Amino acid sequence: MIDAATRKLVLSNLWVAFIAFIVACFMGEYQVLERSGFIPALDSPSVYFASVSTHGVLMAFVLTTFFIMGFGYTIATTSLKQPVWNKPLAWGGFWLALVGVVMAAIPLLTGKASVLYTFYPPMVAPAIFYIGATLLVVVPGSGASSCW
Amino acid sequence: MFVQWKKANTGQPVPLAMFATAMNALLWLWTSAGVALEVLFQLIPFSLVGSIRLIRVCPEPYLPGLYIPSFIFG
Repeated sequence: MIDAATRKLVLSNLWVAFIAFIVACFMGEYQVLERSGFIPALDSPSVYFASVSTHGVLMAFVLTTFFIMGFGYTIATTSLKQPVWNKPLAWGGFWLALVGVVMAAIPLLTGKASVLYTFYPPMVAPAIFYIGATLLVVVPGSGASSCW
Repeated sequence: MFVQWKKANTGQPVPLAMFATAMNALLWLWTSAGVALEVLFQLIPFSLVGSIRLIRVCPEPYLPGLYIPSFIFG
């Protein structure tokens, strides 16, 4: 039912979503180990909070947004039995969101954006984290509007 | 695609899965607008200037001063 080009678009989105998911799963395991106190060598509040923040962003934003995009294109093409309306827009959304992920990942992984995934003030992260997170969250919002 | 399908299939109900997907996209659209506004107008300025204090600017110590955000004069 789904043609090869749409399949590639859908799978690209879903791959990013599930790679983010598996990475975040391992971070979750690490957090349990760290908090358990069984391995004293793992004790590090700064690495713990960087990990919790990255885990939250991956699970709450990266997994959800990329899954929504991939799943949405699948449903739209299969249920309506017509191709994706605007492929360049869909690919543009994919790449822009991916750029957002990379921008947010840099301060997250270097421990400069340990503000947890809700990023509430008064905790402050570098501006690049906010720009990346916004690209990631807003782009699918507008990109998925190709559903209309 | 929702609208295109509606135009091509006048009077027919949209498939339920597509309706749900489109409504989810709509929800995501207007809720992410709130996040975008918060980030653009509150968090990014906050992140760029650091914590904001109000500085009393007054040429004469006995007059009521004008309080301006610290980042204006750095």
